[in-house]
Amino acid sequence: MKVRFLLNNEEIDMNFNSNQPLNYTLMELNSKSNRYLSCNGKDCGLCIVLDRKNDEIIQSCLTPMFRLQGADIITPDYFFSQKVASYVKVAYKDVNMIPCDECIQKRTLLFDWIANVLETKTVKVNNQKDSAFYQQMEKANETRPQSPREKVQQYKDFILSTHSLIKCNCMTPGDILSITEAVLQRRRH
Amino acid sequence: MFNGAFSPIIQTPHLITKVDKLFEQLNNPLIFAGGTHIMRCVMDYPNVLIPEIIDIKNVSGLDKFVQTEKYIEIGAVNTIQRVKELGDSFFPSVLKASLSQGAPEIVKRKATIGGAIAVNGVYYNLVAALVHLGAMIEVHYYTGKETVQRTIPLSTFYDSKAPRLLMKGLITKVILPQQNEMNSNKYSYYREVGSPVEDPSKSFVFVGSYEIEGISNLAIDATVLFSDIGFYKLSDKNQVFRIPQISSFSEIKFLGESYRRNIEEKFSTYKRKPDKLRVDKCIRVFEDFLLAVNERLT
Repeated sequence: MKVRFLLNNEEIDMNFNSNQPLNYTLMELNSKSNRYLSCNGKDCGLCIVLDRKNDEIIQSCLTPMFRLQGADIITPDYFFSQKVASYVKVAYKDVNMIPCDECIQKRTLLFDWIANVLETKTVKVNNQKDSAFYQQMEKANETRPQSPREKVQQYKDFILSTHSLIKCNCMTPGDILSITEAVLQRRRH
Repeated sequence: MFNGAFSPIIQTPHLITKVDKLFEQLNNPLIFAGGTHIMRCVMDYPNVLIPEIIDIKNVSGLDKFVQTEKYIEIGAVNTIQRVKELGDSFFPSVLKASLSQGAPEIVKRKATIGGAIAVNGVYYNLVAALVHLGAMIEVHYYTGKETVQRTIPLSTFYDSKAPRLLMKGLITKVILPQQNEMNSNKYSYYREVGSPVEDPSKSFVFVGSYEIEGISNLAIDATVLFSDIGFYKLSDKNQVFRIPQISSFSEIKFLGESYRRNIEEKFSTYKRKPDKLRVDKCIRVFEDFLLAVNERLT
């Protein structure tokens, strides 16, 4: 099956096995790197990539090639080497906490994505066909009285639930929340 | 990378009638929606026995979310995250609890509600809440001669002694009756034990609710779902539970033991049975539920 997509801003137009997971493709295309591990879907979280078209973080081991037609994929190592990620690195220094070598690139990508979502305060959905209805529901949710404490808890749950994908024990939930706060502050500056 | 010989053909129908036709034409198609279950099955890649995949992401009508006075209709390809966001203001508390727990956020953004029901995957906590709330599902399946559409209770679908992937069938929507939670005589309880993602064979979900009827009668409903085996639903239609009865600790222990007997009886005909430790834990949770009910009543 011919699949055309952008990988780290480079166009890839090749024949692939249609149900081949993306992490296999990444290993094949970038043979020097062994970072795209395969846990066979046990949610180790080490194979995450950013789907820039839908602004979603996806697990490459759970994404088949046929779903990537026209996608724009950014890998964590590429993102980490770019200037865009520098504010997250500064935030690590601010709070004096750095994730381990194994997961630093993935966590950096996640911190940036979380900051994006929290800042825009709009959660993108995969399918926007009935966006009018979606907006109505959002309004209905807004009218529900929600205390500031509830809102903070909701954000904390979102941040920790997102990071719970990476099973590495190098960071505690407290560390993750402090880094997120520092990242958000750095982003505002 | 270039082994196109084993590459399955991807069918991307836009209408449900086209899916029905594909069921009739294809021998052993694989239904693909979110892919969070299928892609984690090691045998599914590269599997030469699956020559064709039906990608249902673009089928119109499967992403609907309709709310009326009597029921809520949720299209099968809605992601768990989307369902959680849309129903945040009006879903029953047990359903909200089941949607917010379990898998990580990133996985919830891919996994679909239909897939969560169709397979014995990591989202069984959602199934437990739906079974407890009396949800129905609409299924399209191929009988061998034609494709038919049926609406069946989710409990019937799950009570087939082994939850399984639908072969030549598709869940199109989940229909949930509207619940009146504003009634102060109602109380619901939700508890997950163990990690469904890491070890489903050691975990279970317990959902309970009660409503006071009359002066001393309690209508208690309790559902326990053992992810890899099946569920047991207790509906106290005979009004066995009474307020004075559950106010004593020894009575709670007695009710717990009778609950254990019911569970053992229900699973006695099953090939796989829940192990003793899991049943013990389940009884403790049931007793905790009764204590919580007792606390609220007093």
